[in-house]
Amino acid sequence: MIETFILIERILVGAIFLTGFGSVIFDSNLVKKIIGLSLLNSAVVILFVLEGSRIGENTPILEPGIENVVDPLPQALVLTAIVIGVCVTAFALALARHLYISTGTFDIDRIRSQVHDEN
Amino acid sequence: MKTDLLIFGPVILPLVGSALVLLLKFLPSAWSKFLQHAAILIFLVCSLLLLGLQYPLVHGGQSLTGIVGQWQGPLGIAWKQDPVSWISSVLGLVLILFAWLYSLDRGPSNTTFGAILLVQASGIAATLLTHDLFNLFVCLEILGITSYIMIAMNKGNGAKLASLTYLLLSAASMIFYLLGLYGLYRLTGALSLNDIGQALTNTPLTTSLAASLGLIIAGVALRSALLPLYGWLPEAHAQAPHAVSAILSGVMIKTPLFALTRILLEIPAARTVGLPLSWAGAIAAVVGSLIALSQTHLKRALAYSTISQIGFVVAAWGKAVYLGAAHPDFHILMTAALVYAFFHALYKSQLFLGLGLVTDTMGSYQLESLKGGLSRQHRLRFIFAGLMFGYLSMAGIPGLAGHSGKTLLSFALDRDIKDVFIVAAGVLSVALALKLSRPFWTGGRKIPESESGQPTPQPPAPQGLASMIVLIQGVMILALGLGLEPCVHFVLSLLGSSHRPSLGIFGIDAILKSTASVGLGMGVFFLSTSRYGKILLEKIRDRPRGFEGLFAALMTGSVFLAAWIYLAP
Repeated sequence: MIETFILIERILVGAIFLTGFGSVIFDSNLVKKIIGLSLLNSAVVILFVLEGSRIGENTPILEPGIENVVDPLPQALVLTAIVIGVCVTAFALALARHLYISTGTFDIDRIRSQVHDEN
Repeated sequence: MKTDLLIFGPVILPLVGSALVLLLKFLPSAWSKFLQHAAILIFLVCSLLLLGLQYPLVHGGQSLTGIVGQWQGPLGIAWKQDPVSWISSVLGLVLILFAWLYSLDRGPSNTTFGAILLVQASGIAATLLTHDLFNLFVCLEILGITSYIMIAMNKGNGAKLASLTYLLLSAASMIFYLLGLYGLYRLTGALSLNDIGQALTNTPLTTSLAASLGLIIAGVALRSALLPLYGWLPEAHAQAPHAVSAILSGVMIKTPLFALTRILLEIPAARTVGLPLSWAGAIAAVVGSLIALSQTHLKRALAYSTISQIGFVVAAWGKAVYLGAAHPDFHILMTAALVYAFFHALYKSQLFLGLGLVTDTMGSYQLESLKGGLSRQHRLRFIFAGLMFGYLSMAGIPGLAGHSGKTLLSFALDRDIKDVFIVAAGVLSVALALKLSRPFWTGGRKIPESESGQPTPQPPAPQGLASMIVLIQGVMILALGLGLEPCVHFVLSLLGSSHRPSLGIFGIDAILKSTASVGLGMGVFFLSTSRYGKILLEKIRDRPRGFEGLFAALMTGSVFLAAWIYLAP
């Protein structure tokens, strides 16, 4: 039963990852690309938390008698990854906004052709 | 404790400096800007001095170690300064100092640029120092974010789009890196390279281990623009402000490469990728030069030339890593990679900075519209004198850094078939140098007239600090080129090798090789200006490219590296 849950969780994480990846590559809208990037980041965060929670069993508060604690490191690491992800997303949105104001579109192909004409 | 402080200095000092510069912005006094500039200069110079103090501690292959926060065991982050990271850090700081001085004259003039530059200097030092895979991820992200900001500082939508494209691709590559890191952590329970290396010593090579390593290496390789992961580079380097282009081209792609050295040397299973990476470098050297020759946009041509030149470095670096630190050829190959990286950083940054002055004055990046116009600008002739060193260096004229670097690479590769690629790329570099210098030696152009029939006023020619930087870099190109042997002996002694090769940059062989290369390069240049040459170059320039292709390259690269690690003998 537990194995089935684990499998379903992994499939769901994989689905989030692929959705994000597909969006970053194939969506021509810049905002959708950035949302895709955010999804990608979330998929990795969830993977770290889910899989990391299976290394050990007990709550990682080290007191006498408590052994086999869950490894706290993966969860601690993803906090940093989340912060970096937020910074990158914020900056990407700022760039997308700037491009929208000066070109009137979020479509990367149209922006590229306008930039090509500028050069 | 003292050595601990010394190892952290080049990372902490620029960070403190950056915070101070941002705080000084709030000062109401007229001295505020002067104080900010003084703070940037002092903190950059002090970081360089600290690296100078580290020299005796890393000399002879020694290393300096420190643990962040003194936390031992798996929680502590280990930092290690070894000769390779020390030289790369010095290169980074010297180039940043040059670029910042140039920016005082030609922009970005905002002192926020200086503050970001200090954060980047700190990030470069930390990336090279860290011995912990997660910490490396954080450092690479710091380098990435500062680069995105600095590229976007240029005017126009092109810079913003280039920055965003780089950001999307780079962030995706870091996701790949994180996935690989997680795989390694599950297998070894460690993040420190030492612990991972030890844990993997007796572990059989599984598909998950190969996949994790493939993802990590591809993630870092994208930052170094290794073939085929270079698609983001040309636009990012071409659209950035000139000072930023110089840093990106000179330092930013080499820092992740030398940081990768540790991963590959510490993890035996990963070392095998040195061979395909070395080949990728040799092929990139030719392909990059050819695409550079097809460009009509001056900075884009320089950017593609950077892809070619990083290929030169990777050809020697990859072979060194593949052979391993215990192999007798390791030191000379690593020395060749480091020295060439230094030489290239110097002359390419000079070309970016010098030609930046030219394009700003003439108001165009297109080689066609620059042609002949420079003969009227007396000040540009002064810059041309400085740029000559860069051009001749690119063309491989004996006595200058480019030729000396190539002589060293040929010596280190020692009749390896990859040397043929290096020679071919050298011929193409001669043609490129001729093409890029053409605005200076072709005849006068008519002065464009305005609607009223009066000649259009020309923008003022550059003068002062920026021109002086270009000239100083030119003299350094000559000095380092002539002093190849002492440079090589210095790096070899730093790496702890007693080998002192005689390189003979003015030997009969080297002169004949250079003459043949220049002759063939001139032939290629004239062919490229012929009708069929133009058609061929146009086809190369207009080859289909797309956003999807960049990601396809990233995925293909990861899968290939994982498969190579798994299947390599």
